[in-house]
Amino acid sequence: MFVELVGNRSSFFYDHLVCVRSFQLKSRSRGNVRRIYIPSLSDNLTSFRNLFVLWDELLNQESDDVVFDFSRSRYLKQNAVVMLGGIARAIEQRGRKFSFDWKSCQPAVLRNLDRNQFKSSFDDSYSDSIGNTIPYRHNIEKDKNALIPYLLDYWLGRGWVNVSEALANAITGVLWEIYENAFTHGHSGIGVFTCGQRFPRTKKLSLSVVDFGIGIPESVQRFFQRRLRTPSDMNDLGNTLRILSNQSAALEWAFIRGTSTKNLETGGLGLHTLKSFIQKNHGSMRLFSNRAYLVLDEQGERYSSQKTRFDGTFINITLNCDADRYRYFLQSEAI
Amino acid sequence: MRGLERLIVSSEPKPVYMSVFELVGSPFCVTSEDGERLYSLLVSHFRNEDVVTLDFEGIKVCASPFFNTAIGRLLAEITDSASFHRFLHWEHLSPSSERLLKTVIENAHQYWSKMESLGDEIQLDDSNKPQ
Repeated sequence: MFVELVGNRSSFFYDHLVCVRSFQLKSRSRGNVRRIYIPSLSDNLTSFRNLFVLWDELLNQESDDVVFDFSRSRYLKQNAVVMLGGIARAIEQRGRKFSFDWKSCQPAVLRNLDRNQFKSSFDDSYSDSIGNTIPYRHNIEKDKNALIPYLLDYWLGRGWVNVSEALANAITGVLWEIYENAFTHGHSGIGVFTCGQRFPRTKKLSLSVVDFGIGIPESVQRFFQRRLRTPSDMNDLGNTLRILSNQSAALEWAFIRGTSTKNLETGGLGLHTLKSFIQKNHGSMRLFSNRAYLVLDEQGERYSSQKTRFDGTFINITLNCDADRYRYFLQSEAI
Repeated sequence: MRGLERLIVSSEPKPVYMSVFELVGSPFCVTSEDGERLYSLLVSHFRNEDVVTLDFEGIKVCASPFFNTAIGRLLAEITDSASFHRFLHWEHLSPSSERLLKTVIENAHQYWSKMESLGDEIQLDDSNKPQ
């Protein structure tokens, strides 16, 4: 028997009806297997929203096994790739089964999934060329000896960014903050997913990292709840209540230099350092976590709320390859 | 008492030279877990009144979680800046990593000063409690 998903939704679903329609999530279930039609997904906010709806549908509202069907997808950017990989492993973690219907892929999509090694990470196939991709990786543990060479070799070591070895090492140290943050706030048990892409025409590099942990705003709010009774917070009760009631304010707090959710430990430089680095590179960042998101670009930094909740953190950064954008690292100023 | 004074005067701080590469087992000083291991060693050397030099030869990539845990936390023990710089020295650190380390130290000084004043506030608050 076929079951139309669209006819049987909660009020949460109707909040996102427009997204779901554009998503073509007219999945059908036959027995206990649900076929999910993946649409074309790019880098815009609508695509991100669609990915979070997909995450919510498949992990919070459904209990069936899943077949991912790519027949309606003409392109899948790296954001979609990391999210699909993460969703698939999260389904598996919950004792359900998933599969990718590779035969449903259009040739360009299949070629891309082959090159970025997404396909081979699930079916043990072999890819002889990675093209302009920074390959898909699933890291269950915080393994510096796997992640740092990944950044050095696949991101900075391919001649796309004309920087010295010392500069590449310094940049890698900043990018490490993304992984440290993902594993610190992660606690999901399924690890961290990452994938990137080089865009030769615009001379840009993009990297996406996702974890399925408690999320940064949630982590900040728990921290403020714990220390609500201390005198300093009573002196600044207005700010504390604002952070406790508003996740975009909680996210903004996490990016302030010197703020940390670790009790009696110094810290709070990681996200601030990452933000400063991207600003000086004239790059951009989008970060989605719980019900908040940050857009950082040439126009500044903007913290907003989103209707679609995402239990985890999704970071996408885009950097300029132009060597001039990295020269400040060689100057004496602090990050 | 006189014997103890003589002991203090005559005891020279023991110089300790530590290879960070050997400690972390790779060219990457990035994780808080590695920082924790270095912190434990540094605390015990500080309590022994040793003078430590960290050799970063062979280290390529550094990140703030490592420095925060290894050295930022140390400043809770060593509140006096002069004592800290007498106790801890480093060499062969790349310019960008040294900048990062100095930022971590500055940040930690601010954090622990704030915690200290907060502790005073808490004590004051406790003393005002009704008996």
